[in-house]
Amino acid sequence: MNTFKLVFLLVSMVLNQSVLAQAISDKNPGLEQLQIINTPQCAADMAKPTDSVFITATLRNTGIVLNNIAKTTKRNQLEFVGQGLKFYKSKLIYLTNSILNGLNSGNLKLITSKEEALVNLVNLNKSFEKANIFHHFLCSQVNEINNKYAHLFIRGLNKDTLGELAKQYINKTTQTDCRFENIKADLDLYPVYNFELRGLTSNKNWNKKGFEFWQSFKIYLSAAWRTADVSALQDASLNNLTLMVPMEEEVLILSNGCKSIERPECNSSFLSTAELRNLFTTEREKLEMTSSSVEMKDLITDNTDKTDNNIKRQQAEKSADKQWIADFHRSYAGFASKNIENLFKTNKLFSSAVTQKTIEGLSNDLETEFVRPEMKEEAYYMCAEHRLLTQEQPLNLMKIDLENLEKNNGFLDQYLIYGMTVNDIIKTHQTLSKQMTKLCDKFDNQLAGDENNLWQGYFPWYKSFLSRYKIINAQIDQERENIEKLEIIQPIKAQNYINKLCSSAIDCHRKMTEGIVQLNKLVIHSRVFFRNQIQSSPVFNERSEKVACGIYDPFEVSRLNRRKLLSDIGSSILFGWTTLPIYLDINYKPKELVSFQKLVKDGQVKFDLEFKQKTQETLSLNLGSFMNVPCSISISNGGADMPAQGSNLIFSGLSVNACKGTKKGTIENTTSNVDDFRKSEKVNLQGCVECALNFRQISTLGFLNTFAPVRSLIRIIEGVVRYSNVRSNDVINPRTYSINPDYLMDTYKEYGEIPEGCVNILAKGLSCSPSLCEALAKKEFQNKTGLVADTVTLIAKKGRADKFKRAIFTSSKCSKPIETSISCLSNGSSFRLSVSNSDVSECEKD
Amino acid sequence: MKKYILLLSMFVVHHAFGMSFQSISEFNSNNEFQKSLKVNCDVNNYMFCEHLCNNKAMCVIAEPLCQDCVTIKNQSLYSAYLDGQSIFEVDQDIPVTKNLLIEFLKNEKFISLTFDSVLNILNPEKKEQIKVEFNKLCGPNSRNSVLFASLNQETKSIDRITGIMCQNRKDVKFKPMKVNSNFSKESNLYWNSVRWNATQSILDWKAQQEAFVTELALTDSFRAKVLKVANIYKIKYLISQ
Repeated sequence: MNTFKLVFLLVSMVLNQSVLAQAISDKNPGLEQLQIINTPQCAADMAKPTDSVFITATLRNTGIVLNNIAKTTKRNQLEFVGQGLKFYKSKLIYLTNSILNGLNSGNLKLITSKEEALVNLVNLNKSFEKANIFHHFLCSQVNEINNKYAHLFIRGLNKDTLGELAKQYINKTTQTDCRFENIKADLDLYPVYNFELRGLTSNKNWNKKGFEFWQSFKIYLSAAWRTADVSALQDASLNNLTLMVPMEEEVLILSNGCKSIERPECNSSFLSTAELRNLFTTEREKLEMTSSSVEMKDLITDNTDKTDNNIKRQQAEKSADKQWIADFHRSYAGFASKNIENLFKTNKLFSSAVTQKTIEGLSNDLETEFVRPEMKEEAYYMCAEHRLLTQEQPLNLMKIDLENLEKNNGFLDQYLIYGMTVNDIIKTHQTLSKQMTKLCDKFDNQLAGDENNLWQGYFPWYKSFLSRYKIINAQIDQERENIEKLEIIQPIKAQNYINKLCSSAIDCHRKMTEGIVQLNKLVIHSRVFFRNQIQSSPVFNERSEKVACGIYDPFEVSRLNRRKLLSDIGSSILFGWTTLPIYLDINYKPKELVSFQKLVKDGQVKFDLEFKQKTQETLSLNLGSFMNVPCSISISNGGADMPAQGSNLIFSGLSVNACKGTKKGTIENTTSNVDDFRKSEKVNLQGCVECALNFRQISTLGFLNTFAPVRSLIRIIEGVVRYSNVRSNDVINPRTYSINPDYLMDTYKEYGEIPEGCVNILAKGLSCSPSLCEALAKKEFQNKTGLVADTVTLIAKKGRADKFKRAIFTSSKCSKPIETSISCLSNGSSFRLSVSNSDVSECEKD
Repeated sequence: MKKYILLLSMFVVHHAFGMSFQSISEFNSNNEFQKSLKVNCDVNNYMFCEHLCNNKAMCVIAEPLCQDCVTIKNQSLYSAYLDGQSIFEVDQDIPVTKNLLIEFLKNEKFISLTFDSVLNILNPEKKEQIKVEFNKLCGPNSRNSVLFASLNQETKSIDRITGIMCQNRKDVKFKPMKVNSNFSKESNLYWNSVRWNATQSILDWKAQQEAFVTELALTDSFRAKVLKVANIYKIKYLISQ
């Protein structure tokens, strides 16, 4: 038996090496043409199944277990963890490769139904033996993001991005394949492997079957992970250790490019996978603007893991490495754990409260506290939050969401071994909610009846809030709405209610309200963050959900060209707070005291044209009380960061920020100028128009831990008004650029940069060297006459070798050379070619 | 014979076992990782070990592979290491007998969780703190407490926290655990079922005895006496062995 295994191992290794070597030599004759596509093309591509994937893993938990074991069994920690991780990685590559082979050869059948899945999985090991032959799938270890993956981040070309690319080509980066001897026993917790299936795409059926292929792959990988014979691998005795952490929580599949792994559909599942993209950024400021910002912020500040930070710092110092994937995984893991913590905390709070006090008891305590003057402040917040959730119903969707929560919470119960079920929690909330409504109404009416006494020492915002409900008629003097007041609030002395879970009954009700908001979020995130199956996500396709939902049609430019899309539709639907695209006209006058409502009245906030007739009503209806939560309006000139001091008018809550900024053409910048070859002197009006939370203000509030005002409000606003940047590239047609890396390098070497004039030429796969003027002339000649010039000879101006004035073209279609006047400096500037059809009247036309 | 011992232990209800329990993690002869519970019995308690594994001095009970169980999504693991005292407490209502414990160790699938368990991915660096928290569940003067978790039959992952082995200088006590009554009022179904299983074994033996006595056609009062004597006889017999 052992001999058999040994032979098998040797054979498979030999096969593996030779086949891989073959594949590499086939693939690397010169440099491959680099394909770059713009955002609309990327969006259009999503409908097709991908033929190249990243198999990535976050081995943090496995790493901790391995480390624990090494300590307990007194083994060398570094060595043992490295060895264990190496086995994990080898197993992942081995199974991935085998399953891809099996599916390709037909030994593993595509799984299209549950029944089929069962049958196929029963026979898995048999099929697996047959499939277990190494084949030509090209796997490479991704240790850095180099020019091979430029297509992931570049959506448009300009001189800077091309220059950056050229530098990378010149510095030549090496690829390491996935042969087992190349898998290092190191402490890399975030391995990334790229599997190329290019051979399959020639298959006509690929576009039809591709999605099933990936779906089947994921199912097989899950099953094989637990059952397949991996004795062929080195250190197979470590297999047990790869089973302790659920594999599905560690492995993630990403499409290498804009094509998809899963069939894009406009449903919450797809939208929630698309939401993953929000975690996919190394820019912390960006993270703060995502829907998950509150959690993410907590997470980032809580992350005090020194080793982690050290690694991070080192990685940040190196450019172009795979920091992106590590960051993504870390954010993902952190976000997922925050979600599950919220579930356990909500479960604990509701269970403990009801067990210790009963629902009646809680209601009675609440009533008692309401008449205590020192509790008034807390009562304000509780009532505001409660109204927002139950009565105001921003977008009327919270109600729908609660219904949705009631229907779709089943899956959450599987994580709750102890305490209340999610349905019990919701029912408890509904009962308590009635009492809150009753008491708050009474409370508000009292305030309205005896304003002078009761308003002493309280915040104007609640007054404003009540005026919104027409409970009081008081005019709100915006000038006196001083934000400073928020900072001098003294939290009430913490008391003990329900074993220190709350400070008071009111506090408990607030926390329970917040718990319900959390549960709602959990249900929405369910698919992605409570994964029982391996996840895949269109992280590189920023418009996938918009296309899937028919909101964005990459081929129908005219439909969108006058719009500035500010609302991140996918996320809005996902978070259930707004279903309307909201536009903000950035030409409003700054430095005016403006409320959100005023913006609407003045027509600054606009809707999608379809919603135009009912703009005012719809916005009022849907944004509810946020209409009266004043906005902070500011204009800053310093880029997309915090608004400059002095120009920022801070009200409470919502803020609208607008700024101008020049676009940077760095390779990481996904927003780099798309398809814009015009030499524009103008500063691009970048759409960093955001109506979002004013984080500066919230972070101030955040210090008052026990008394963070309107906790729910913060989160709700965050969900309601989440604008993404205005992107001028919405108006661009789908385009694909093909660049010849050799030409790119030549150009860079010659000029020390990529000259503006070469961008257009290189993007068409043409050479922009040795003479830039020649290339420009040929191109212009072809543009104007429709004829391809075989040669061009340029004649310089007398005494000015760098300035050309005449051009002589020859073409096989023309009997005589054609001479025209030209203006061109050798760096490509001041280019002009005077040629018309009359000049080539004697040439043959195609 | 086992049944006789079971019955015997049923009558000897005292909690000081005078044994030691140790949760061990090691690599077996196939170089595979294995978690087990090691039970040492002294001269006074050799029968416990003998009944458990046919060895008078020591038993090593191999724990099943904890598949898919290392995840923060497991409420038992999460609560045990981060919030043990608010979620769990010792169940004083379940009397711990040796036979109940043997029934548990022999027939239930369990995982032992120590303060330094390899399964702890939540806060493995906080060993000392976890040790203190675990010991608090046992009461004063406890040390090296070991938590027990049952395994889900279907998923093979950790299900519920079911018991705790409390040890101090003098003795070892096994205590069943339940959900903290400040958190939830649910009844201790797990131990009721273990107890039920244990009782079933006793009932089997009782039924056999009944049959034997019935065969002798004795009167009720006399039959009771015979049963009592028979028990004493069996105890003497077993001790002499």
